[in-house]
Amino acid sequence: MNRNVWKLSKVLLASSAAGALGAVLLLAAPAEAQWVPPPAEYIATTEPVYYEGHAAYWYGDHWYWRDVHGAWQHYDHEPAALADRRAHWGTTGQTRWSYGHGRPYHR
Amino acid sequence: MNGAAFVGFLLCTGLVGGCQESSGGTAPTTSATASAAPTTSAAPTASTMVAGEAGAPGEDEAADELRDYHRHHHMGGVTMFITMSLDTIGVDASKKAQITKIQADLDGKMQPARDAEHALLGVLADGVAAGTIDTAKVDAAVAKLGTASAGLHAATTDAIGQLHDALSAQERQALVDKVRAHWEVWQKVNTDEKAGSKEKGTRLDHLAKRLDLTSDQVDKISKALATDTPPTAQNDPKPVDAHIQAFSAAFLADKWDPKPLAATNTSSAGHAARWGGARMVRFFEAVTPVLTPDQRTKLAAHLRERLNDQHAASGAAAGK
Repeated sequence: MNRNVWKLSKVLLASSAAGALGAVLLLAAPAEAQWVPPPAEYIATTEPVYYEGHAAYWYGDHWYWRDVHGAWQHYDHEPAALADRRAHWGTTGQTRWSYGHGRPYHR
Repeated sequence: MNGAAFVGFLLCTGLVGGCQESSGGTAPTTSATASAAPTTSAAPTASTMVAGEAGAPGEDEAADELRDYHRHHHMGGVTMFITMSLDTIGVDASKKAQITKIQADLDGKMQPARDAEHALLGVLADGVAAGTIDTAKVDAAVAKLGTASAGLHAATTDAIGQLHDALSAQERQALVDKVRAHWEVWQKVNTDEKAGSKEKGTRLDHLAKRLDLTSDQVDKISKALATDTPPTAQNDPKPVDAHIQAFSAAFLADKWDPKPLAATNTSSAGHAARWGGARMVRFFEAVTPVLTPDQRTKLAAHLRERLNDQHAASGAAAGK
């Protein structure tokens, strides 16, 4: 009886560890996937918003900027001033520049 | 602790960790893909843009147009990247007229390089239309483009100094980021991209769509371009990296001092123009014999249209 309980415990332990690992991975993956900084093409064609001494770019539902070391940073919670700026864009987004049509346009 | 309790403990630990990860604080957080060196950013290509961006389609048209622009225009090197960066610097209204004037000045100073690029694209268009590109003419045109671009540093130092003084520290940082971004995109399409690549978004893919190339034509062109040309001391664009680093340091300093730029400018002068120009020539030399007369006519017209692109068209501040 005791042997069976121990076997069952080992199975539960193994499956729970695997399940927990899976849960952690599932929870962590979407969070990281959201933190994708803007590519060079986006920086080169997008007019930034200046905030707290940085040029900020709205990309993939986050505001991004580079710190003094050149690393990308982002806000987890959108500052009110930037939210206000974004509210004025409507549904079109930050000003993008087109090198195909010869004039700026909103996206 | 029994099995069920242990499962609960592990799951709770995972959930708490996940909740902290996703809720965050009000303070800024370093990106998971942050890079300490801006020029070696791990940022993705535009084709992997994340979903949910306001109004952004799956394909980023502006990014695609920029890549195509940098495949066709190689004049001016870093001066061109600075001039283009002013398109999206986003200064407030009080500075706009001053910045536009400086940009027009930079555009004007690039006229010799622009003329050389017009000559190159013109020779290419003529050759494509005729079915044979004159090698001696295009080689001479590429050399002229390199020489004209190499002379820009001295001609634009004052204008860039004025720009430095007109911009705030945060605007100068934004400009440096944009210059680096243009350089990264230029390298992506002119050095990193395999010349004969048929992948989506490559130069050959664009051409195939534009001219309705058959798969046999695409294969022939790809095969002809299969061997990438190795860089030489005359055209290796890598010294431009050092020049952009030197420019960044000088432009971010409180006081503009162009003297430290002289050495890197000398070592990188005209390299991007020569490399980009030569690569463009090689592409159209491989393409031309494979095309039908109608396709050649269409491609020649397209190359002439590129003469009217922003900053590439004749006249200062063209395209505004």
